[in-house]
Amino acid sequence: MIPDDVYVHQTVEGDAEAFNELVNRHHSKIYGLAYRMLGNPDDAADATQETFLEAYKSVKSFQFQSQFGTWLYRIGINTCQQYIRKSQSNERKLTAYTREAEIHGPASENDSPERMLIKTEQSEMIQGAIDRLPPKQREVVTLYYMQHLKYREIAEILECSEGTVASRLNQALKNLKRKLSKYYL
Amino acid sequence: MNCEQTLNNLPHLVVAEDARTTDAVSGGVSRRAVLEHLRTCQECQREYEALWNTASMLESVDEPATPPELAANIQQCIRELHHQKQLAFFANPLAWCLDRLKLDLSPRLVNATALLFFLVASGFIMKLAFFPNPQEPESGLIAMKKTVLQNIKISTSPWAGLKDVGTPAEDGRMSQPSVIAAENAYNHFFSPTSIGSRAWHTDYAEVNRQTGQTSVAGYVQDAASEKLTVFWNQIKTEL
Repeated sequence: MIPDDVYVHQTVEGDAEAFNELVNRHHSKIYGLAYRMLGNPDDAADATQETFLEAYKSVKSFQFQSQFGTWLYRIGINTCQQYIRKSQSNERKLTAYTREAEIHGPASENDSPERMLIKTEQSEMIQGAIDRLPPKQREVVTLYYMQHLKYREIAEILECSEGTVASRLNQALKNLKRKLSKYYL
Repeated sequence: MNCEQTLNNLPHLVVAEDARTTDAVSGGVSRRAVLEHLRTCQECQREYEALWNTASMLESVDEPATPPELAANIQQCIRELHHQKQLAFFANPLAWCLDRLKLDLSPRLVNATALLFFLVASGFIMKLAFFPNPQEPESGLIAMKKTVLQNIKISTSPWAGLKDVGTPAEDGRMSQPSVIAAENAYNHFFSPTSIGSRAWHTDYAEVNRQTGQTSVAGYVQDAASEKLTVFWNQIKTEL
């Protein structure tokens, strides 16, 4: 597999299709991040697109000191923060089951309708709880639990210490426990 | 180890990614001590389980399905941005027009066309500015002192009232010696005559009998100072 850095070099030299290969590789992860950060698919898709456009515009500033994915996450986080500040996402929150089903795609053959319903309800409830977290806690929860990144990587993306990441994550977990306790008790 | 210390450290115990490999939890509190307390305190144990369940729920959340058209949309935007970046700044208006006309030309062709257009337009403007068309020589007074008249400041003549003192010829033109006199000025100053060092000339004089309007053009030049005074209708200008 060709490393990301090769495509980044080609992009810097003026090959837009090389960057589009990077879009193919990373767009799902950035969309997942944006979806968990913003709470609705429309804003998530817009934020994902803006993230890649911003990355393309500033690709010459990429110093190859971190992984391209990490750099992209950082741009994604900044884009989502701008969206959160605009507070538009609150007006477009996803509540309907049908919309949720649309997001999660067609049901798996292994999932019964009851199981699908439970998963959908659970996912909706968790997303609702994440939405109510302060933005900084939302970032670390998303990156740690949904994007499965390590403390070191999260600290690099958020440009803070690993201790700060741990502290925010612990606080977020306490908050989420309060919000979700009704569901599993 | 009391309940407060344990509860403060429970999140670290649940989320610490290196919890299995290290004994330290936080603030100098041992992981082993926290676990020891949990074995004996049911309340803290319930709290630990609640946190653990929360973490498990978060980990079990499926990734949202990415919209199938998202990647293609982003890639299309990237191509358009790339196309835009290749256009020179001066080619943007032309590119906008071509885009409106739904003509998809290569950026190099658009740049070249825009450059050609600007070169032609610049040449045209330069020609107008620095190489004006030679004009036909004009007759009468303006032609006579054209270069000087370009700097004329026109003011209303004090000889505002003109009166007809002569008799019109058959073609309507007045005979020069007795055509016009001006109040508050030399009598018959439009007549070709000389008063001292001044030479008077009248180029043109006409009275329209039907409308009563008078048209006069003439000049007087002081031979000593070469000062030129121009009259055109009721306007007097000194040069």
